[in-house]
Amino acid sequence: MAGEAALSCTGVTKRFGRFVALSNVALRVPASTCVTLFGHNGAGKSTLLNISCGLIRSYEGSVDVFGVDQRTAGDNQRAAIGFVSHQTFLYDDLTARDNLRFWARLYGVRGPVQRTDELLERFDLTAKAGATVRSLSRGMKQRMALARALVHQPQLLLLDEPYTGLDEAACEMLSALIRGFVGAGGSALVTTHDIDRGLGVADRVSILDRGRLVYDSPRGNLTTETFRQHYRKMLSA
Amino acid sequence: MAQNGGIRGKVLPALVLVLLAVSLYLVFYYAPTEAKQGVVQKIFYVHVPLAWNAFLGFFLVFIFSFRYLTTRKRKFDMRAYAAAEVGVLFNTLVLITGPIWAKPIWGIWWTWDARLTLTLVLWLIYVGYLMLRHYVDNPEKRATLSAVVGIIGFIDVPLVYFAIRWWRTQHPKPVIAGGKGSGLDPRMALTFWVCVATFTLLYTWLYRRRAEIEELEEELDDDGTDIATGTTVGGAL
Amino acid sequence: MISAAITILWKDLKIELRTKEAVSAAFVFCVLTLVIFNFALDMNSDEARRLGAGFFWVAFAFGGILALNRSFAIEKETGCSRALMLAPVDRSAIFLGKFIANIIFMFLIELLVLPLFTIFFDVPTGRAIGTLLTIFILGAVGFSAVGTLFSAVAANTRMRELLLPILLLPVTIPALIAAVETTSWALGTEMSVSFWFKLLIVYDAVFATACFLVFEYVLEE
Repeated sequence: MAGEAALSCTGVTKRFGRFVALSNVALRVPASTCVTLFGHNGAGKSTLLNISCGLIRSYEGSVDVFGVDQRTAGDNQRAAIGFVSHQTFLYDDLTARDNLRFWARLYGVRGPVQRTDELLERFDLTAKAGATVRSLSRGMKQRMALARALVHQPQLLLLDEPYTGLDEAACEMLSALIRGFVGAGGSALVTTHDIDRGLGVADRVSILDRGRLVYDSPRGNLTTETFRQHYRKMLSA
Repeated sequence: MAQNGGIRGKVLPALVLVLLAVSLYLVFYYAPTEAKQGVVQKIFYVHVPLAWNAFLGFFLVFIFSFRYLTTRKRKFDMRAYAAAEVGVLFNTLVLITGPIWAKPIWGIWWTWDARLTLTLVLWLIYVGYLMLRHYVDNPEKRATLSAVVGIIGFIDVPLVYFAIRWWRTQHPKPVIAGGKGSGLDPRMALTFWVCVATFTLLYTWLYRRRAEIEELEEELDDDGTDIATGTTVGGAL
Repeated sequence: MISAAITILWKDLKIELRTKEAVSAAFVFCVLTLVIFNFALDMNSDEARRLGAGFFWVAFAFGGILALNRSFAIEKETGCSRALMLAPVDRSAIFLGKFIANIIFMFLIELLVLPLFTIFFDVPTGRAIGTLLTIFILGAVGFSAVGTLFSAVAANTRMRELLLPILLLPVTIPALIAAVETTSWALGTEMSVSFWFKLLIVYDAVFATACFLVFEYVLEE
């Protein structure tokens, strides 16, 4: 299992009728790495994420998560993946605690009650544990969404434009969380068009332009300015 | 589905026209006028074959829906749609000819008799099917959701039939469509069966044309999909 | 799979317990329907007794649809339907959990409307309460089976509230007729009904199975 990539996409092409959303995309997220995928709206980032977690099953090419082909993967394989999007994936009318317990149970987490309390503690939400999600502030909802994504201890975290609409503090927290997650051995694929944040968490950087992968490289010593110029040039080509 | 070129594509419509002419002759000149009901009874030669073919159409929707779900080939979805559209058309005509027949004979337009009520319920189910298709934009989703409704709708048909029939025996009312076999004069029987053949071929021809048009539209919209097999081909992009 | 279904069932029950939105909206709508029937058809007490069963089930059908709509509306709101698809559970477990939750909600609605129905239409429901409760359960099962499936179907379209009744009502006609006939019998105004009970049971069995099997196709991306 050791050299195995968390996510490995090869020759992925996805069409929606005449529109080609992804064209022969090859992307690899090695173990214990964070890959940031940049691209404008409509570049195909969300589609790639949806394919990676098995939500979309009809496409060309192959997608493996920890060596398992996503097209034929059974239900249990999904336990290795966590997903964060701009939707909270939480039930507004349930309490924070009930929400986490529900998802913990659904994912078959051992000791769902303790795990819930643990996460509430970790994300500083214990005080609001008995409040409905609807009544939480935006920042708290964001923390809840992250707690939910991590409740089952996934090994691969997919984040679809997670920085959208977050304030500075929340962005900081999110980046710290991603780095911590990767540091502890997890892998992450983040899509964003926030260059600063995206670079800040990345070990590898890639750019998706109109369905094609036009850049894919280790982060190395790229500065934000250099990358910004790169990005602009690439997208106007 | 063969492209409509040359002689082959013209056989079916030609046959339909010929049979239509023959049927008209038989209905108006050959078949005797029924003693009790008079000329109006001749609607029966149109009403019943239309009903049978509407039913055939809905059976086809069921078959194609099932095949779509098991194979995911778009052609089955298109065929199901074509079968449903022509089926609803025929069904509507049954619902129109029924009252036209009933009014002169019974003095009322509608009596909720078993057969006509069943036809009405079928009409409602399949109009619902067509409306569903109208309100889903994504073609793959539309195909899947319609297939589900197409299957459930057809499973319901025998239950509706028995329910209405029993309900009518318990609360009897006059019957609009006189039994088709109720002492049919041999000349009437011949006319009837020729009409059945005519309408069946008419249904087939209309259904095929409709399915062809659907497929051609698909082809125009969608360069990557192989129409015959319904799978995406990794061609040059 | 069963434990996943139970988890989902509890979740739906908890949400409804807290908000009471589905059942209360349905209940109010049922009462409104009964009231409007009363104004629209000025009946004497004999007619009311004879036709009452029909009105009850029509009111229930309309109210029930409101509750069923919510079943998947809550999933779509914050993206939870996607989250459910991402969870390592058999999609059919989602159907099972929500199906049973809906049976409970439908049964509750029937129970709540019953006393008002008794009063408005002056019908002898007390004597036949056992039979009525049985009919209520059978009706709830059939209605929820197709209702849960079609709620998921409609939730995936542009016009969810419009499509659910259009799709659901024609398909539930056999069950509704059977429910009306058996209820009439329980209230003393019908003759033989063994056929109707059988039909209701067959309907429930057929659609609980069919909808369960076919549901996984509805929840795809």
